[in-house]
Amino acid sequence: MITNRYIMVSLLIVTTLMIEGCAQVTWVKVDKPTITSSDKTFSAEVPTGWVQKVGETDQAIYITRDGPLIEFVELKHADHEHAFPELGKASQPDLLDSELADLLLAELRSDEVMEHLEVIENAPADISGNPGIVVQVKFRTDFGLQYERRIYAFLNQEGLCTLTYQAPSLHYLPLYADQFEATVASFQLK
Amino acid sequence: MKCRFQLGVLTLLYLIVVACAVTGSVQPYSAPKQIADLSEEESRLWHQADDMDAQLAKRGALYADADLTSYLQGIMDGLYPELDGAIRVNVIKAPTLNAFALPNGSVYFHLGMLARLQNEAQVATVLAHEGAHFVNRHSLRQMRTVKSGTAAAQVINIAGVPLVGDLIAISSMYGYSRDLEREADRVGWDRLVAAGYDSREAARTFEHLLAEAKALDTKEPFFFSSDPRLAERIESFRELERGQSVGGSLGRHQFLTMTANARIDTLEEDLGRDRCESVILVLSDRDRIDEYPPYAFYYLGEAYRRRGDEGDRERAIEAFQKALEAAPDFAPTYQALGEIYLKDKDYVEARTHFSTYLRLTPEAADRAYVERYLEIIQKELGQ
Repeated sequence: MITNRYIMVSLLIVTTLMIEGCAQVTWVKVDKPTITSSDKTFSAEVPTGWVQKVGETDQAIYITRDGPLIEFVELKHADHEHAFPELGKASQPDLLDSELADLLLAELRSDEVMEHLEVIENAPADISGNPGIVVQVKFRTDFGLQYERRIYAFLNQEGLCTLTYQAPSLHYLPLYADQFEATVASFQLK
Repeated sequence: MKCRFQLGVLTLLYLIVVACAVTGSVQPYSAPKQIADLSEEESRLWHQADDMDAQLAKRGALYADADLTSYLQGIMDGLYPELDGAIRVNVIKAPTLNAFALPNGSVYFHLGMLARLQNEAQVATVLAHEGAHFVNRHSLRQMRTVKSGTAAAQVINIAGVPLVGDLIAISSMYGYSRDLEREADRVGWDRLVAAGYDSREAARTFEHLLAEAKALDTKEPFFFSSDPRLAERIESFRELERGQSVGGSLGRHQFLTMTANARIDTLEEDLGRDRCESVILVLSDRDRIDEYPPYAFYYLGEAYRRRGDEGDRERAIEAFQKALEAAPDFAPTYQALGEIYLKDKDYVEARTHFSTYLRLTPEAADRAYVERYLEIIQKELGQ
């Protein structure tokens, strides 16, 4: 027979693990227009006054103005080996653009919230001089709120670069869409 | 990943809690019920289930095929005629092996589950089992037995299970206690026999699902893809069969006709989630591929191409060639072959296939990609 005491001990362990997982992240205000990833892999122009999540990874820049549930921009460089963590698949520099798009969409669908996403745009794109792709999807939360996520992606010898903007379709998405496009245009690999 | 970890821990804790559950005496429903007829405790369950119905609809999770839904509803109504449609069947647009019943009578069939079955008697087996969970009020009974519900609910609320944050959702989707599952087997079996289905299909259904779950080495925590749970079902149905093995209707032709679109859409869903093994498992079986239209070889080829293991390029080309022979106007095959030849740097073959693709589908959604590939080819060929 499992006792309440046993369950409460298990509960404490779970809670501790979860708190542990969140403890290292802090938010800092973006006060310079040009921002560089901690591992110095890339830089980009981002809007000042937003806040940046610091301490989670060296290979990504994650910023938001009003909070991640309202909008966020994420710029990320992943090694080939870790390009599609949910799928457990690596990328290769010679993937065709459409193959990259298929993998990117499959990776998104691994997220329970985006399992039933709808593709709005899926096409080749130029990312600050790098040939790649742009994918835009929409999806709804359990409460019926519709979000859109726009992702630019390209491959190089070292890995996969993704530039993401997400916001609710209603009202927020268009507010910072131009700023995101400016960020994409300014993206530079070191 | 974190979400899966949390869910794993929760599922484990939950299973530990329900392992000690004992069933109470609650009478089965014998006629349709309204929320107003229920106790406060049970009506709360129904309201939670209503919320889950709404969430699934809002997330766009439902598969919209009115004919298919009506076909499944007809099977359920035949199994539980006295409930007069109170058990409502829906299909979820997911390629996974799962089906579940909520306390308010909503039964959900995952597209993947439906597509993997082989005849109507097998569909009826699953529906009869799920219907029994509702009719015998297993959610209420499980909730009462997990009385210390407070402890379990605290675990669940704190960790924030993403579906509905609720014990009932978990038990519906991941299974009830052993006793309740065996009761659902028994009740479902009786209904299957009474409706005139071949009851030998009951055990076969779960043998088939078990073989598939093992072959795919699936990590999905759902009841219908869990090896031990499926093995229990087989044992349970074999025992029931010993008492009375009854032949009856298989409904194979009707099943194949009504699920034709759903089975193709499942292949699309599988590929869209990079579940290549699942497509290969189904379509590399000669008997199964005959249940699909001739162009299904395209999906087999595409699964090999995307998986990319040693020898898969050759397997993909072989499957695509079969697709071209059987369905020469099916455009996606040309696009897929074009990509293979482009990667091989066989630019002439690639150009031929891409051009045919665009001729067959001028409005193709991926036209921009193919045009980019044609530009690259043109450059490489120095034209």
